[in-house]
Amino acid sequence: MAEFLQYTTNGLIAGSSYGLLALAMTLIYGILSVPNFALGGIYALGAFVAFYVVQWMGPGYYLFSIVPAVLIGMIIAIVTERLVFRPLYDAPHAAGFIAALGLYSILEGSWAILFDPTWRKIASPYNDIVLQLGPICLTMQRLIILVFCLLFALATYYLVYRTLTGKKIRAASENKSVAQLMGISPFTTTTMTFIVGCVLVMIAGVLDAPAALVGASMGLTPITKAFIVVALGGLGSVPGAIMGGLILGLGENYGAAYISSMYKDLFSYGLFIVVLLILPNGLYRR
Amino acid sequence: MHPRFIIYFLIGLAVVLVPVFVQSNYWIYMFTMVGIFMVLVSSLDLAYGHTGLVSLAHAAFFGIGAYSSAILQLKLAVPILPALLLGTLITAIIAAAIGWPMLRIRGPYFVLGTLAIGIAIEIIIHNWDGLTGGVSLSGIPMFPEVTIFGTTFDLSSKRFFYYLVLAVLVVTQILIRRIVNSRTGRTFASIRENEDLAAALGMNVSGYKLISFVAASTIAAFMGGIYANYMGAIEPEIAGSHMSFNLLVMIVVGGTRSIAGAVIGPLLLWFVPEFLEAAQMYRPLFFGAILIIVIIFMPTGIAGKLRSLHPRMAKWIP
Repeated sequence: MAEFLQYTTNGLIAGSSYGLLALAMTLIYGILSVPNFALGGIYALGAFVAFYVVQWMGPGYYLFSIVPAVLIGMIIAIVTERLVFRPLYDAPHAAGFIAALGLYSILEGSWAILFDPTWRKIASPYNDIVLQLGPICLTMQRLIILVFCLLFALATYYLVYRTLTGKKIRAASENKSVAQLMGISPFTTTTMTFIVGCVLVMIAGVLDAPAALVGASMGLTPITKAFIVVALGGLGSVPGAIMGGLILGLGENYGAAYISSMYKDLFSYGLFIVVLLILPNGLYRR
Repeated sequence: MHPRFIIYFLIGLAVVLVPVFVQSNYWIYMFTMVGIFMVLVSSLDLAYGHTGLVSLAHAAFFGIGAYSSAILQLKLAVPILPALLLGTLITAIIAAAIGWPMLRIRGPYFVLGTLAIGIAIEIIIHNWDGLTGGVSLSGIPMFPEVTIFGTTFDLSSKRFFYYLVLAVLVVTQILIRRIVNSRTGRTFASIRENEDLAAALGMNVSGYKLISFVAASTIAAFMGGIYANYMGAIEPEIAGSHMSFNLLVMIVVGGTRSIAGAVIGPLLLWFVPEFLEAAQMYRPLFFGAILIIVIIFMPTGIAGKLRSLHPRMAKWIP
């Protein structure tokens, strides 16, 4: 039982981080119908921001690195949306998807050149504090991941469902031309969505950085899994992304614990394929 | 004779004579690799360009073909030729088994599903080390020496493989032209243009998608088998999503539904990074930049752009 609780906790922590990435992906998918693979590169940038903040200012400033990460995320959102996705606004969706893959390639290549391509560890002060909560044992860092991910997911939920900006985003993702007739600029809304998405991904990068190795290609696996989470939950669905993230995190950890840890990654892809075959439109139909 | 065909003939002649003039084994290897990519891109074009199936699992079938043929030779001591054909058959069955349920899924879900399958296959190959040798499967036998009419041909030489890949490429292209210009090919086009309309007109949409998917995978698998014997050692990465991504880039950059496109894409994306200094470092940057520039400014690829420049050009670009 104690083991089961431990696996559940691990699953929830992994799942909350997948969920945050998936949230960003699903918002952008909703508005552009493009699975934005480039977010994987932005995620790695978030981790690099955390790395350099800790290196230059000291480990105590680890959580402060969310501030520059958010600012950089806004800039990179505007730049990539303008340069890459807006010219393809009317192109078929496959074009946007391929451009996103290209952008990911550029980002990963740039990080490898700008910051040298070796893998490194972040000295977060929270990595060494081990908490014992009943039978469950976890580091402070992982608790921070869990809490912050849920916090930012709630903030996003509030933004999307309780504010005017969110209403515009939802309207534009429902039907772009009708939204435009109602006076909602599709371009401004797309930029807004990109900003929200990139900021979330940068934060996810900062949070995950101490628990993983930081390197130019670190975003590939998480973003691929976020893809899967988004498809699990239903492309474009906000509650689906969070639920899908938790399901994937739990499924992966149970699978690794009770079946085979060697095939841990295989479970997420296998789970995805199975769900896709049973529910071709995801868990939440939009 | 039309000047067009003279030009084509000269290009063909130059391609055939490459091993005569190029002495360095390195360059023969490079050209052979480009040829292999051209075969893969041509076969992917059947699924992507002609039928509209954006597959990110194409390299997986190349990899399964390579591994099944190599495993048959290494573990069961099957001779090369039967192993190659059997390996291709096995891959075709796997492709059908994967494609049959997968092809009912549509649009972005299908793309993500093929991505998941591509990654899953790479993980399986990587971890099933009892069968696949894990990180690398080496010791795959070379082609033997053959003596015909008193002349000995060394079939393991780089030059022989150059011609072998060239032959496979030509046969692949002819095969694809035959399929595309047949009734089946027109059905592919109608599925690509409007799947619902095709279904409404009584076409067996998922059946024809399966034909296209399995045919493309089978060609890739056959090439994979030859690749395994050519290299002598294979790694799980050849089946990975990164390789599939590169194939997709090549076809998008070169141009779909075009012989020229299937030639230009691999040529450009295989050779140009080779000429860049510090190539390894700048390769992803170059790949991504080319991809974005092409997709924004030439949505139909380089071949499509050349065709649209002038009506006469359209005739010149096959």
